[in-house]
Amino acid sequence: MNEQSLINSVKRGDQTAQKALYDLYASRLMAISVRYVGRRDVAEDILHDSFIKIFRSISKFNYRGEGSLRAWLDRITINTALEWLRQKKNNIVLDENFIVDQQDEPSISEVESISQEVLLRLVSELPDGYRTVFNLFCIEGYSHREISKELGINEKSSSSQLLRAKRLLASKIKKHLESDE
Amino acid sequence: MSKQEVNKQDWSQVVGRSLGDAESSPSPELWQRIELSSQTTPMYKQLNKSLIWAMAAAAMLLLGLFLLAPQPSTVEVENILADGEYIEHEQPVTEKNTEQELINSVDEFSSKMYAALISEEKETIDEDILEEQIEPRAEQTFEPQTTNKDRSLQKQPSGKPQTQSLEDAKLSQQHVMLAAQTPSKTKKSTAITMNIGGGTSTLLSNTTSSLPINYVANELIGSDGLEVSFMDLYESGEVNHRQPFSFALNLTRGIAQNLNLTTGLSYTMLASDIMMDYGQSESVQRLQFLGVPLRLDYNILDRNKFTVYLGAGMSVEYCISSKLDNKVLDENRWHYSLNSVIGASYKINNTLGLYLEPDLSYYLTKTKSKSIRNDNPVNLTMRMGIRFTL
Repeated sequence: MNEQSLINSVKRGDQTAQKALYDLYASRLMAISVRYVGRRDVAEDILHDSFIKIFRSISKFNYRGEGSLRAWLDRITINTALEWLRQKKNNIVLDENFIVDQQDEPSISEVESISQEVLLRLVSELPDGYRTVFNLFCIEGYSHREISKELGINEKSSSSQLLRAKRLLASKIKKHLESDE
Repeated sequence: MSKQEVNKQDWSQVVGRSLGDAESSPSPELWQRIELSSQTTPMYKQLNKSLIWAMAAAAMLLLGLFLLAPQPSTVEVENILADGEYIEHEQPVTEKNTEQELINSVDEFSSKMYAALISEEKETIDEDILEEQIEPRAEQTFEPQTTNKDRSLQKQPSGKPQTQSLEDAKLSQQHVMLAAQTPSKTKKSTAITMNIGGGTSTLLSNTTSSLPINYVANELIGSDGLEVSFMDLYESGEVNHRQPFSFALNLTRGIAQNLNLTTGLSYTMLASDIMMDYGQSESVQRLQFLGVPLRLDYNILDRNKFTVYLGAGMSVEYCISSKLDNKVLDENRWHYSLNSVIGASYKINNTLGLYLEPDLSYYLTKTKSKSIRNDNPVNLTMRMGIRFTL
């Protein structure tokens, strides 16, 4: 079954097609949830809510070729996670209090040597504010202006959070590399 | 961009690329949870646009009814007591209701009404005919007596004899009846009610209307034997409806995407001040209702925490108390109304939210007593409050 016919079946309420869609994308969307909320138990709740939204609103989705479904699913999951983060602290709190010493940055080869699973864990360990801005900027490719609109913060804060997030993540990566040696 | 900055960007981009395609398996039970949750919303699939249009049409219809409903500048005098059901007599005849007092009261009413009659020449009546009509009843009720001179001197117009015979009094009674045929004076005002808790409301309507004399008749006489002569005397009084008070606890449950079912429990009190022209007394009428609304809301706009919705439904209310001061009034127990709303809500969190909704209600059941609902069955209510979402 190609993606287009899968979507059509899901739109008709075919439960087998729903399960097929879930099997195809659940792991990817779970990783996105973990990246944003940091905890697996919460990430599962986010994934649950995301799939409910997906099934309810798929009738509005227009297939525009390969990649459009994945982007749409990613967007719903990210929005659900951001909504949870906003509700958790009434808004996404920026973490200004973490003092991060400027350390040596990891090299590209060092980062490439780290498994996806470990990188996911290290990112998920970042404080909420750092993690959110890092995800939106470095992974989703948002600009600081877009982040400021999405999170209701100013661009300067977004930039500052990203800098601190990178420093803290670099420190974690270094520590991880050192412990491996 | 310095070499160091390029280097920093590079390592973070590698992290981004790596995590962009990351996968992490959820627990095996998750699909069962999703399946279970998605099965609770089959209604959505059956919904079509016609339902939404029907709800919108109902809202527009009620709005139209509200706008087209007569807004009386004058209110006709009603003979509510004609069937003798309006007020239940709880109190027996008391000593104060002696014949002398009654005649004095009649005298007082007559004097006032006579003055009114003199000023309105068009309502002059052939006294001979009236006397002939009144005679039999008066004979059963009153003994011929002279009236209080001092009072007559103060209240009777010039040209009128200073002492008033029983016949005069009876004649004046008839004049009162005629005076009652003239439109009563009314005033318009806006009542605003705000309830905080489950909800708050603002009710917009005429709040003043005329009232038959029967309240005063009962207060003055309270005697089955004599009330007949007073029951026939109608003159407009004035009812000033107080701000209706309503308190509601609402529960909302989403039953499909953009579709919510709202119900709850509401308490409403309609109070009216009854001012009689005679200045005899000012009474307060209180009608209290417990109600259960049931409404279907459709979200027409849903942006993050802000939602705009359109709803239609009905409400059933039970009248738990109807009193005029401490007298029990006969009142319909069950009251039904159709409601339509257009509202906006702001979600504080998943459970709590604030809402503001203009509610157009059409009351299918009229109150027996004079009330704001009786005067205008279509009411626009501004509700605001806190909503619990399940």
